[in-house]
Amino acid sequence: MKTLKMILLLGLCAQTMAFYKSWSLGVGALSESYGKIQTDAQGNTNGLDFTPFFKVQSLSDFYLNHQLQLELATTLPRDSRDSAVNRMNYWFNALMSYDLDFIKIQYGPGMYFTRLSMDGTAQELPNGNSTKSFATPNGSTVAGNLVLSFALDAPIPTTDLTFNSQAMILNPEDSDERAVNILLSLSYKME
Amino acid sequence: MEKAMKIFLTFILMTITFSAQAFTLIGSDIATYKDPNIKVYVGSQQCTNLADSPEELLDLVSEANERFWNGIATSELVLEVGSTKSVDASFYTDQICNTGAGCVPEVDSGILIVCNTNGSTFGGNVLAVTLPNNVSGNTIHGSVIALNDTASSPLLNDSRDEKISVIAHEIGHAIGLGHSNFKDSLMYYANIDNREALGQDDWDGATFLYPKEQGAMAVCGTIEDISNPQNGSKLWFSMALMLLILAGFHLTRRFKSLN
Repeated sequence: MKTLKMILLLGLCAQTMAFYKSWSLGVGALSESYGKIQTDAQGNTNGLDFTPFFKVQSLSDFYLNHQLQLELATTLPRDSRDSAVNRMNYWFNALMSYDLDFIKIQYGPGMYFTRLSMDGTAQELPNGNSTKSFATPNGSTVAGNLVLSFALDAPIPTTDLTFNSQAMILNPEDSDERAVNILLSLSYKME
Repeated sequence: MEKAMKIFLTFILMTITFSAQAFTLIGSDIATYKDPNIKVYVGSQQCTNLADSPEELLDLVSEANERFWNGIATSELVLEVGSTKSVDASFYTDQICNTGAGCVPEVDSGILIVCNTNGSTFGGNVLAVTLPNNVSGNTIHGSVIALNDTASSPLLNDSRDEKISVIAHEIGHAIGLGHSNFKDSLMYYANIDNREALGQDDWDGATFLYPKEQGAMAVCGTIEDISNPQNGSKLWFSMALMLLILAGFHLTRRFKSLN
């Protein structure tokens, strides 16, 4: 309930201080925890993954020559290589945007959620010198991270499209657990 | 307008790929430590055949924690290096099993690593065996990790990096994870040469069992019952509310323009 109150409060505060300008829809590619996860037996780690996501965002005038960009985004649910885990991410960002005419610099906090679910189907896997049936969870869990994002927003000339590249930092204060999500997206200004 | 839509749709098609991995559990159901800050201890008795002293094993534990388990951005899990611990002598000689005569005693708390010479525990080329042997309901109170300290232990020929990977793998079992089907994961059943970081299965497994709860999530605890598939609905409701807020901006503007 407190999460909802906080979101509502954030929305109301933003609405009383900011003057709405436009909203847009976007699509993009998410690369989670860049370089932190091993991807093969040779020791290579993950690069750009291009997991698709969709977003809706609003832009409002704000104080100190800034604009406030609120964005809500979600990936599609996606299955594992053996279809055992279903994974989905969604996030909310409140970005301050400073316009340099040809490009906008954006920065601000957000909340990033990771939802994992499994159906409880056991897996027969090697175990020592034989095999064993390993259980999997039947249910879901959601992890929530406060994030700090930095982005560049570049309008594409003569169109209503904007290209956005964003670095979303999870656990910025913790050098061990710090991870960076890379997001590339294209937005279409609706109004 | 048409050009813009073409670019937009092309971008959508370019981004569509799907990939993720899978993990399993050590037991028949979810079991985790209640506190995600878990201490790892090492039995204070010198190994019989392995050359590593208890202090050197603690160093390996420290590296295993830092290199692997303590860097998961979406998990609360923090493994702490404890100390060498004086434990019952049977931990070094008895079989690693749950109940009955000849099994090692329960571990009071945290994770205990011991060198074990029991021939029945290790068969063939098994490097180590782990058992959460103090479990009540879905809570793990204590786990024992037995390193193969027999005269023919394959650990005798392992490099320092391989030993770190073995200990990290066994710690994965101790915190509640089973094996993974994929070689790129630490929880794959066999050791590989180039183990540099956790794989996606390990990352997801630790996130599932010990999810990060930052911000307001830490206060309201929306994910306590992780076995309940309905938990996602609250967050969907949050997302719907955010959408309403965005719609509010739009309507406010319309209202202002009418006046």
